[in-house]
Amino acid sequence: MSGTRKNFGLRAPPPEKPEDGGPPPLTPIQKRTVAIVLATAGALSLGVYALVELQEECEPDPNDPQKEICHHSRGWHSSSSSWPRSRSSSSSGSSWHSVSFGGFGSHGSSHGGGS
Amino acid sequence: MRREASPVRPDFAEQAAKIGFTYAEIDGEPYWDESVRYVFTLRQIEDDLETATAELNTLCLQLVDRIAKDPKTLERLRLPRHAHDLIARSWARREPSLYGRFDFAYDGEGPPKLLEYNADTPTSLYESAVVQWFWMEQLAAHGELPEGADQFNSLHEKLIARWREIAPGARLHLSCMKRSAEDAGTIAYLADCAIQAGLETMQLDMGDIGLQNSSFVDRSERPIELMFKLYPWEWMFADDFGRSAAMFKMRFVEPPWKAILSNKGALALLWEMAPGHPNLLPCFFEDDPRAASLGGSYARKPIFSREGANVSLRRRGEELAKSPGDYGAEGFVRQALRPLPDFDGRFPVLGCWLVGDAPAGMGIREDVSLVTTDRARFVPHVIVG
Repeated sequence: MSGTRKNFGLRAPPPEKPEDGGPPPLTPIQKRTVAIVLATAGALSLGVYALVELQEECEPDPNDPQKEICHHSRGWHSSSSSWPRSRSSSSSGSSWHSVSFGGFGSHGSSHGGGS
Repeated sequence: MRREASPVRPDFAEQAAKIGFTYAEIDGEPYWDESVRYVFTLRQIEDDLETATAELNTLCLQLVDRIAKDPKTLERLRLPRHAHDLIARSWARREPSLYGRFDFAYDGEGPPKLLEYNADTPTSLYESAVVQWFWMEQLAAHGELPEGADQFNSLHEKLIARWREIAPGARLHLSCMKRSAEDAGTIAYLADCAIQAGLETMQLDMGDIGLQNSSFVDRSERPIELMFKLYPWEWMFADDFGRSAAMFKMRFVEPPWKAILSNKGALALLWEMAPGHPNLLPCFFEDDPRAASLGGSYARKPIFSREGANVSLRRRGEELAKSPGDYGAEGFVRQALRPLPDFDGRFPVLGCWLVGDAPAGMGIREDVSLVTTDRARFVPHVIVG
């Protein structure tokens, strides 16, 4: 026992300030006030969390109408990022553009693989 | 350590929705339970639980260092031959781990005893890192907790820092079996931490991992170079793609060497390496003659098992508890019986988190049974005094 109280939830180092200045760094408590929302886009779509503060803008992918490109901007935490989000369903063992799918995921019940 | 009644927030449903906590109930049964809380002293957290977590991590890494290149021992763990090289290489490169969870039996007195190490695919992360933290903040704000109440919880900060450390600026795919809301929530939370660390993230179902020539790709045919997978290594190895050359081209989190530690056989190997360690229970492979030294009092656990499935507890030859499941074909270990403590008819298991090599927090699940199953409820905790 060190005799020195540790602030278990509060002892993390302050977040780094970005080079371009940006808003004042958040305290760990403030960081935790960032709320997270789970959006489910249909039975076979992928669940996506987005910060409440996060602005998400999506637009159709001009190269593939099955997909959309979503741009996320989250203040100074990181620069904008974007990624395509597939809305096609998985098809076990199928071949798609010379790609084979379904080679993983043959195990697990409705409880998945977490423990 | 004590268990006491705690006021339920009248706007709990609203608060849960606000933070995206979608599995406060699972299969129609309550999972999150804030009508009670566990209370610890700082000494119990620091001297007992945090110290044990750090020590066991050191022991585990020593164990991996001893056996990662030893095919005989890997076979003892029923890890298939085609996986041995992958495991050895990942350890030789010291591919970094993100996190893990040690599950302890502990009643506030004496050393915590390791029941198992969820080294590969631990869940209950979001509720440990975020949900119970909000709970504490809100109760404290309403004067429902003693002044200065704290929580063993720096998970959120450490996860962000760890992503930044092990994959700076990387593009990260995160995958799981999406039909499990808990697993989907877990990777969504880890993706959020990774984004805050500056990574680019994509989430996908395990079935949406594609094989193109000798590389893994996603549905957009983007190469998958770094993947967090909430899917056990033994399943990866058994699946069709588990034998492909692409396995050697992709970097995994958790890395393949974690397959050693998530295996219940590691409990026997740890005891073999450090007999008498205060945080370990005697444990042996069932076909080891030394297992007889446990007599008729032991926990029988499948080498590969999750959520308490196929675990049975025996005391002086009589069965105390048993859980159903589909595991056990690969064999069992027998671990000296250490029943969970009884708090008001509930049996809590303490999950102590490790991020990288640092103890980072705790989540408590309690069951009405001595075997903690997927029906266990998550109960928050505070440190007072």
